[in-house]
Amino acid sequence: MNDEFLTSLRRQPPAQFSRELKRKLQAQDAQQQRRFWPRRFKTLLLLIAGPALATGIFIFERSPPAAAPPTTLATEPRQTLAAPTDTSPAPQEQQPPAAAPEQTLPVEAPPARPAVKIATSPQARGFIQTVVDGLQPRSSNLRPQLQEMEAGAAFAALCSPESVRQVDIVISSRRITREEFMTCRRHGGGNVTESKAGYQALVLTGARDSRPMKLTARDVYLALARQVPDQIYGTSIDNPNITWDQVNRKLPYRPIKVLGPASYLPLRQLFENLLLDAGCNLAPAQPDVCHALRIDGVYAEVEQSATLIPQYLWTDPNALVLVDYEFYRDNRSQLAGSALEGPEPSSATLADGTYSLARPIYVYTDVGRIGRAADGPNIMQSLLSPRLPNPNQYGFVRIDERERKNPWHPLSESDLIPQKE
Amino acid sequence: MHGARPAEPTDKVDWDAVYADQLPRIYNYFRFRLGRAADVEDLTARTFEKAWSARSRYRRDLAGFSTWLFRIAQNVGTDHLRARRPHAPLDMAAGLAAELTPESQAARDSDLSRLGRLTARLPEREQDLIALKYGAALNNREIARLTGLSESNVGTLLYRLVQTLRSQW
Repeated sequence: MNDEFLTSLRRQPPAQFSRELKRKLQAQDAQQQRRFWPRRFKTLLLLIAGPALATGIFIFERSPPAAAPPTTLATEPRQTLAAPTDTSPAPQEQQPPAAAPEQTLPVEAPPARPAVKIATSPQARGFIQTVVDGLQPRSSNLRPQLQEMEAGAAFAALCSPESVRQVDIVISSRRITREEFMTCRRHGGGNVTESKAGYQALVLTGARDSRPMKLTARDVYLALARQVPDQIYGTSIDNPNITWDQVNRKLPYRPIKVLGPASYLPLRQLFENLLLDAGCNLAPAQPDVCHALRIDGVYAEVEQSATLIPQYLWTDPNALVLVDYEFYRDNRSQLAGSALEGPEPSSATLADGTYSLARPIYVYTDVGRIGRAADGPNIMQSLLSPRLPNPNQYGFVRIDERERKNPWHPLSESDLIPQKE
Repeated sequence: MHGARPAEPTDKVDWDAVYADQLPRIYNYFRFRLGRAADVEDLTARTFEKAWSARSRYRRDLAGFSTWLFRIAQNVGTDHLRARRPHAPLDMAAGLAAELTPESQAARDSDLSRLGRLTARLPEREQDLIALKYGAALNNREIARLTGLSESNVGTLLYRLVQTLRSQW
């Protein structure tokens, strides 16, 4: 096709315009960063004060008994035990007379180890917090400290040099990249391990005997978003779509009705991250309205109950329902297959990543250093245990036994060769 | 026809590279879409500002970056064209048309203006196809993703459009 007369019309943008726009975008970034300054300041303060406090405690502990009373042990309960030796005036009846001299003897304190620091993505924070709170037993009384970070920042923290390392375990819904892994190696952390703790997965389905649908994320978004781009002018308008064929001409004439999790539930956040963001990217709408759903009854919040959902679907066979994968698996006989295009949800499609409404939960640590944090290996073991607690409403799916591998096997560079998409 | 394209941005996005790669595409998309140089810089800047402020929400596993960016550009362009659409009375429009034929105007104008005048007769969708293909240098698959047409349909439409434009050039 002779189209030279068209291709020859292309021009490079003026260099000055290019530079000025870049400067403008960088200024926009700086403005956003200024808004986050108080938060960053707090983090910085924590980073400075944390090690300083730890060093102070360490020096205090190591001082001779004369200089420091033997009341300073690493954990709070021991401090309570040693309290009677305090020289401050205290009511006589509160001090057990016989036990006091024994308790004031210098005790061989175990070396103070900091609490395990776990970095998790904001999306998985709620779920991981619940899981970590339920981890038992612990040999020390130090609770793991959970920090919310984007994956890139978390891997940077895990892979920073030993002296400034801020994170012991990273929980992420994406894999570490080769570049991040090489950074770890450069900083002496060559024993990074990668394990899957499980998945978070949802299923959009319908009544068992309903007509099968094969929707895209874009279709679902355009059916459920409160505001959608106008077909003609591209501006945002209130969603006028009532039937699926209005959303996409290839879809059948069928009233749009979707039942899903309430806005305050963690499952709703998963729905937003996995499906609405996908549709919003493809639509695309203004990013700030990506999660705003219709309030005209087309989307209805429903409790995920094995009794209620089949009843709803029985009364309205056109309705679709969004449930977590475990609920879907447990009630498969009452439900149709997935209403989204692509493979059906199963252990295999979750594992190979082909099922679109799921995300893996990876756990990373440096086995050479995890032992230096209090309870580090125990917590790591618990996170990867087949008996990991499964709190409701997070859409968590335990990993299939066949997929489970040795959590202490260090990752190698060849494991991270990019796979073809 | 087009040079090698850098890889799509990964999870760890090199925004400098993305900017360098996408800026000429968006810029030329608007040049072809509007058929004139005026407003092109403004619309390009507006597209990048929108995308930049929302880029933390972009996820590679959900849509190609250029698809996402061009969706924004399409909306920005549509908003602009809608706001600028002239509302001249019909009889005045008829007079204007009689006064300046496309051929006489084209002889005086630059090639870009000539293209703008020729594509102005086409439906919106076809104008967009030309801008995406020859302005933004997207391939047929990417255009299909953006327009909702099939890849083969995009190829056929573009072939016919180029034939038509060339015959009038």
